Amino acid sequence: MPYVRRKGWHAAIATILGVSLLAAGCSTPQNDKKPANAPANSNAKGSENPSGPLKLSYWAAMPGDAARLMKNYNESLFYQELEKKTGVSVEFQHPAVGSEAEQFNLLIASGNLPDVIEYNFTSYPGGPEKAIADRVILPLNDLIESHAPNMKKYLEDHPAIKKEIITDMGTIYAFPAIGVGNSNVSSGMMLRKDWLEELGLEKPETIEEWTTVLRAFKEQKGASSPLTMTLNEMTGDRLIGAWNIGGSFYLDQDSVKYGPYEAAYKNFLTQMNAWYEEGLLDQDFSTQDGKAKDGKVVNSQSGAFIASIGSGMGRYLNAIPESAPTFDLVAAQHPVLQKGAEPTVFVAAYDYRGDGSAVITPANQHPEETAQWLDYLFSEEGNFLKTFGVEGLTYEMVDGSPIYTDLITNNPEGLTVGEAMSKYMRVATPAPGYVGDDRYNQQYYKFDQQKEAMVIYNQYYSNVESTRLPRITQTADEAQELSSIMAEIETYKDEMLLRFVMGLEPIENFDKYVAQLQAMGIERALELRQAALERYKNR
Amino acid sequence: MNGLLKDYRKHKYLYYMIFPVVLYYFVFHYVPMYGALIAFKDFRIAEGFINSPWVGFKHFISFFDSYYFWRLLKNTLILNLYMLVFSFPAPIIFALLINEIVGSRFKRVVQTVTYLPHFISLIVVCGMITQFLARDGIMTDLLVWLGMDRQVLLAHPQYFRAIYVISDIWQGVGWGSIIYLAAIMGINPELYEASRMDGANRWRQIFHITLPGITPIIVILFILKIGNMLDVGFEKIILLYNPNTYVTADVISTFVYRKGLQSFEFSYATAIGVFQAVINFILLIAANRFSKQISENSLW
Repeated sequence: MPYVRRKGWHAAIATILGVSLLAAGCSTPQNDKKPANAPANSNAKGSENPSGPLKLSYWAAMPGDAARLMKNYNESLFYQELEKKTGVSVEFQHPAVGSEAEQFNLLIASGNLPDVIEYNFTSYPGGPEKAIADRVILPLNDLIESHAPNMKKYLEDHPAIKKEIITDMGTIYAFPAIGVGNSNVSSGMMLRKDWLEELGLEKPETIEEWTTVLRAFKEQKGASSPLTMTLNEMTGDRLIGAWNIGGSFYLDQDSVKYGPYEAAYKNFLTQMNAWYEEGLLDQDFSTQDGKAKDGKVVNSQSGAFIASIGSGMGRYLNAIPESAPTFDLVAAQHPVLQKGAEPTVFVAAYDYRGDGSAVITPANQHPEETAQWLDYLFSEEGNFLKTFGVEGLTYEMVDGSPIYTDLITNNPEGLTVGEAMSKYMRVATPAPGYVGDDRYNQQYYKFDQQKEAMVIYNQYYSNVESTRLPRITQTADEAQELSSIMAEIETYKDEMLLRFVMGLEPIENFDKYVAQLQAMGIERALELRQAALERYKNR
Repeated sequence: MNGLLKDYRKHKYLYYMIFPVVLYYFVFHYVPMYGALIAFKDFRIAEGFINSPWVGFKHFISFFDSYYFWRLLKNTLILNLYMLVFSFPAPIIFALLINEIVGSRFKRVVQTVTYLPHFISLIVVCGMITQFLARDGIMTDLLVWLGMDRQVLLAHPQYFRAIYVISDIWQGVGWGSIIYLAAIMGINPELYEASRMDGANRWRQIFHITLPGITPIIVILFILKIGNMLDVGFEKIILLYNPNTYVTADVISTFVYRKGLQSFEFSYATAIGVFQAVINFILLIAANRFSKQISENSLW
């Protein structure tokens, strides 16, 4: 009967539709919730049969250079050689470049921890002690004592480093990336060398000399923004260091201070305002991004700026703009107020880099073997493999020093030095072990101006060691209170900085500004920081 | 219940079809609501949901006591008000205008061209805005030609809301007009004929036939918009603001984003979210009731 058949037909369609919608509805949200680069198997059981070769799961961020060339670290010569030498094979999990912090949060929240995580645990909220309490990392003191002789010896020989890497309770929690060599400072002030020569000017050292030079750039070279920078460079420990205060928390003898709360901050603001009103400071500094700033340097609209030796100076010198055939750069010493004074506050990396430190998680079934494996990177042999690669292929010994071969410095596939280094070694960014070997740095920097810059910027590094806050950690409750207070203070400080510098707020109102900071609780914040410092000193 | 059963027997297949959708909403939107409870706890990842301690209203109080609370609330509401006043009517007016176009080829071209900005990712749009409004940007050049001083508009708090709303209109007017055009198509053409016989010109037809015809849709969408008054998505603002413009641009969600960046403040962020959701809900109910009283249109 046609009626019955039609009814059956409807039922079939409705059921199929319903079931397919159900299936679609079930699968799509899962795809949304899974991170785009979910690891194939983030098994908590990482390692395999102990009597066979060790296999570890390893979560680490890949820097941009490396990510462009490889899908994971196993494609790099360094890790392939490492596997041959140690017998440990690694399964890498890499977060997408740019979203490392989010992916780390997701990793922790998921509870599916790999065997080893590489991350900056000094920025873990509540500090490394909390990470241990959260069962994210294992304390390593015993493991290092028994299975990591190289690292153990290094820490005994360098108690200052040991103090940096342990928690307030004395727990070692990571195999750190430790800076060796004289290259902790890798950025600073730079000027157009050809302009200085043309105008017969010396490199400026004091703020007064800077004013003279910037005026000359403006009047005689027609630079519309003689000194250019981005907002981060204004709020960071750059120019403000001339007044011996920091852009945020810093150390003055034994007390923690907050730069924007100090009296000298008024002088800094007044000077910046003067430069801004006179047109010596880029009018767009508060809104422009790195690209816009680059444009001004390359178009000769600016003659002075702040940049890093490698990716800044290196990049500019590699591509001399056609509009300025005499383009040349020179690094200037961090500015001071009086002639002959030494710079005391400027941006420098910590010896304990923070980034690129490896921890062992409770999910690791073979912590002893893992500790031993990580310790290899602290041995002479492991460090050489990591920093210089394979003799004959990536370096040659010349007069007792390792010199990179053309494979690295003049790569036949057209890779830059940084990219080639990422492909064959693991040296250009922090990694567990020693980083910043001078022999590597001297060769990473191709240009003489860069080599010179490295020396200039690092000349007074020992001063920074007494003005920079060491790696202090706040307890979980302190961290919450501190972040509450600082969220508001930083908003207010950032707004007022711009208002003072750009002349929207008369500098006479500085006292009202200070009073407001007090009302927001800056004293309490300093107390909390000081407490953390005291605990650090007792480590 | 009896009525439901009867209806079910009559339209069995409709119920089968809607069942997966209802299940989806229940499982993925209603069940997870228990998570909002972390607003009243100090959520610690390692301890998980059950073991994190209760703290009552601590996060709410911390937010209300914040120095910037009133400014954040004000900026959020004002921005939404601007959107309601300018950005909401724009697609309606646009739809009415498109409806008046006679040449069908031109009509289609206009529609396609105006839809396209909707598909451009927000990040790209914000990048474009930043470039165009830079000191030497193309929009700045245009405005200087029209008599403005050369300046970077994004550095001035008084222009932020205008930039936000205008770019929103540019991006959304084409796409938003689709639903209104669909409603306009649904108006009985006999009404137009009757009005023409009564001597109505195009203006009169729009005011007395088209607009009343799409009023139900307008009211529904309006009520839904009111239900979002305390939400302003933070992505666009984060990409366009800077400390210069905090005073008008900093809204609840951007402040919480900055604060949340300093530590994993899940509970705090959730508390703010709950606060916003509760207010939005109250506004939604009020708007719906109000609309029901003054006209016959309402969401429910």
